[in-house]
This record gives sequence, C-alpha cells and structure tokens, in this order.
Amino acid sequence: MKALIYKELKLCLNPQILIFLFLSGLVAIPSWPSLTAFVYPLAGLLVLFSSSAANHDIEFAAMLPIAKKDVVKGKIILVLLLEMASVIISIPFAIIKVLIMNPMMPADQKYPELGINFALYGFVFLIYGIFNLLFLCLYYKNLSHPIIPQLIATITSSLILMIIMICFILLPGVSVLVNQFEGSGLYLQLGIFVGGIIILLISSFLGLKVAQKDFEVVDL
Amino acid sequence: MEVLNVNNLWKNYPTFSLQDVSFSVPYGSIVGFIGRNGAGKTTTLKCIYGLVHADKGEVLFDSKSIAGNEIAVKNDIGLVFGGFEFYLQKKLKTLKDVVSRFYPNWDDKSYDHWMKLFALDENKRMKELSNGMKVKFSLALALSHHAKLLLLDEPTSGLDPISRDELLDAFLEIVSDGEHSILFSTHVISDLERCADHLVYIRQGKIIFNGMANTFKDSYRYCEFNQGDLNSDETGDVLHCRHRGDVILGLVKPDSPLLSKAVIERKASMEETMLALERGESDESFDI
Repeated sequence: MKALIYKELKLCLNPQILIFLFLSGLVAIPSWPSLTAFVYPLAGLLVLFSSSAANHDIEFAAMLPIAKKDVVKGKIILVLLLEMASVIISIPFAIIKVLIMNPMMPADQKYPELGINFALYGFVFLIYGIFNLLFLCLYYKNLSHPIIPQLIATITSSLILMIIMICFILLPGVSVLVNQFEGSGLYLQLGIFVGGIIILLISSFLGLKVAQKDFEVVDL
Repeated sequence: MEVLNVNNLWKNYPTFSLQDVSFSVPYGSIVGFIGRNGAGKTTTLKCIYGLVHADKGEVLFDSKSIAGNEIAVKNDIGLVFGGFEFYLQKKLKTLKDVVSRFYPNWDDKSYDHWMKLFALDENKRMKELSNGMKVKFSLALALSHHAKLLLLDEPTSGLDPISRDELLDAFLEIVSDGEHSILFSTHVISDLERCADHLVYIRQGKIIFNGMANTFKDSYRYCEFNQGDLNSDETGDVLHCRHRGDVILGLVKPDSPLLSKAVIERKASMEETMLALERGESDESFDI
C-alpha cells in the first residue's frame, strides 16, 4: 500500500490541484461565508480525476502487480489526504480571520451565518463525505462517462452547502448559538465536528466498497 | 513444461467475440501471436492479464490459476502495450522510481543494462520519446523485474528497422536461458520469421493455427503459373489467386498436383501465408 500511495502522490498530483487546495485559504476573507471556500478543493478533486484519466492512470495502475480493488483504494486514500490537506491549509487563514480580520470589522458583520469554529469544519467534513460517496459510487461504474459523476457530486455538494448557509440565515438563533465558544454552543460545535468526521469516514468507506465492486467487473 | 496455458477462453462483445481460444507458451520460447487488426489479439492478452474478464475459460500461469493468484502472477509477468501513453509529462526516472517499488524482484542493474542498450535517457520526459522509444522504455521496465513471461502487444509497431532488429535480438537473448518466455502479438509478421518458435494465429476471434512456426511456414508454397497452364477449376485451388499480366500467382498446398505446373515455386513466407489467408477467398478448404 505504501508503494501505491507513493505512486498516487508522485504521479497523480499536479500544481493545478494544489492551487485549488490552497484556495481553502479564502476562509480568511472577512464577511464572507467561510464554508464556501471549501468548494474549491472539490474542484481540485475533479481536476485530479480528469488529469488521471488523461494520463490513463487506471490502465497504468491495473498493469502493476496489485489487486484491482487496491487501484480504487489508492485513489480514495489520495482523495482523503487532499481533503485533509485543504482543511489543514485553511487553519492558519482561519486564525488570521479570527485574530486580524474580524476585529477590524463592524460587530454585526463579524460572523456571517457561520463563523470560524468547530462546526464549520464539521460541515466541511459532511460536504466532503457526501461528495466522496456520490462521486465514487458513480465514477467507477462507467469509466467512459466521467462527466456525469462530476456533475452530480459537485452540484449535490454545493446544494447542501447552500442549504446549510440558508438554514443559518433563516435561523439566526442557531447561528448565534453555534458561534459561541462556551456552554451549549461549544457542545453543538463539537457535536457537528465529530458528526462530520463520522459521516466523512462512513461515506468514504461506503463509496470505496461500491467503487471496488463496480471496478472489479469493468473491462479495461 | 508450459509457463502459460490459455484454455477455452470466450468473451462476447456486441460486435465481436473471442471463441474458444486455447494455446500455450512453453518455457524458453517466443510465441508469435498473429492476426490482423481487430482479430482479438489485444483482447486475448488483456484476458490473460485480467484486464478484461473472460466469459468462460481459464488461464494458468505455471500451472496455477491466475484468477486466485493475481498479485503473485503479475509479479512474474511483464506487460507491454505498443501504445504506451502514460504520464507523458513525467520523466522516465520518476516512472521507474514509482514502478520499481511494486516489484520485490526489481533489479536496478538490469534496468540500467536495458536503458543503456536501448539508448534511453531517463532524464527525458515521456512526451519527448518517439513511439519506438516508449515501447523500449516499457520493455526496460518489464525486463527489470525478471518476469518469467513477457506479454507484448504490438511491441515493434512504430519502431524503425534498426530498433526492431535490436529488439528482436534482445528477445532472443531473454529466452536463451530457458527460464523466460515471450508471447508477442503483432501484425508485422516479418518480425516473427526471425525469432518465433511457435505461432498462434487468430482470425475473427478464433484460433486457426497453433503450432510450430516452421509448420506454418511449410503449410503453403508460393507459385507463379503461366495463365494458359491452369484451367478455371485449377485456379480455384490457388489461395489468394491474382493475375499479373499473363502470370497467375498465389499459394498452394505443398501436396497439390498444381506444383508441377508452376514456373516459379518456393516456400511461402509467413507474411505471404497470412496475407493470403486473410485476403483470399473465405473457402473452408483453405486452412493450415
């Protein structure tokens, strides 16, 4: 598995993907919904699969002495690593937003709907989980039509992101609560954070299993 | 002793099917796998390596089923496809660095030997290589993990005559120890005249010849006749019968009575035989 991850990192990553990952740093923009910044890393994942297809990565990997199911596993591990990287990249920018940007803003504009907190990252994990599940379940079913899974996964993830943002606008009480770093507000944040991680792991695992099963019967 | 046995392989596509494909590759041999484009060569090789799922049949490597021993078997097989178009932006040394990590038997000395022999610079990017150089590089990769069996799909397509000659020499060197074998698909039949011991000929998804290359070479004689010497019934016995002025030319069976009427008669080349079988009349009496 080490060799496979090495192959993914060495051959499949390209600067374009990294640029999209770094756009998660847009969380630093004041008075802007921070969650939106995490749509860009999803675009990076689309670039990853497109460039892999252009490089005949699946055929290349299938020729290596590995089980077919490991070809899928390697790719999903890379996807999860990139998603985690986007979160880690965003953290210093989130700190900049909290410490430098927000104090400069008028009080009523400091926390647009969902500020920088654990809940934000919980929702990021939720959106990543939904993307992984939909994309992986569809992509390996029919490798000759990659655009359909890209469209479905991206549109669905973006819609869910919008619904989350709209909910916070329509329910200002919840917005105030979730942005508090004490008492029930903090518990709510941590609950969303842990829930997001669990959903990401379960969705990715389910996506992996479905993708492995689909890929096993695909003729290359 | 066979390194590879392909038994009764079937694969159905809407417009094409492999039908009961069976053959074997003995240790220390070069087996030429011939047939025109679309005859089923690549599909068969992909079925052997597990890239395509056969509907029926089995593939045994070293008497073990490939189905249950995928990783171990793939370690012992080197697969080379003619159109090697992977990661064109990457340097050869990067690809080698990645591929070598998958093979416990990887041998850097062997890799250096083949890279030197094929005059390949590993600082070049894949996109900078000609088609022939790409094939050579993928061969260098396949040969550097001491594969017992090389599955080569059109490896000489795109190669200039000198490179092709070097490659065929390399094939003969590889099998000379009796422990390595090559299954080599091609439609450039002249390549096989030099190096193949065995021949498997596939036509429209069916194996129509499976045996020693010399038997195939001896299966037809090339003949030229004066037009007046053959009547219309007799021309029907000439495979791929053509007219060039007053001369009739084509192939006939070695035991044909027509041989005595030929003004020029010689052993048909493998290429002439295959061409005649492909382009000649689809009469069942013309077989090998």
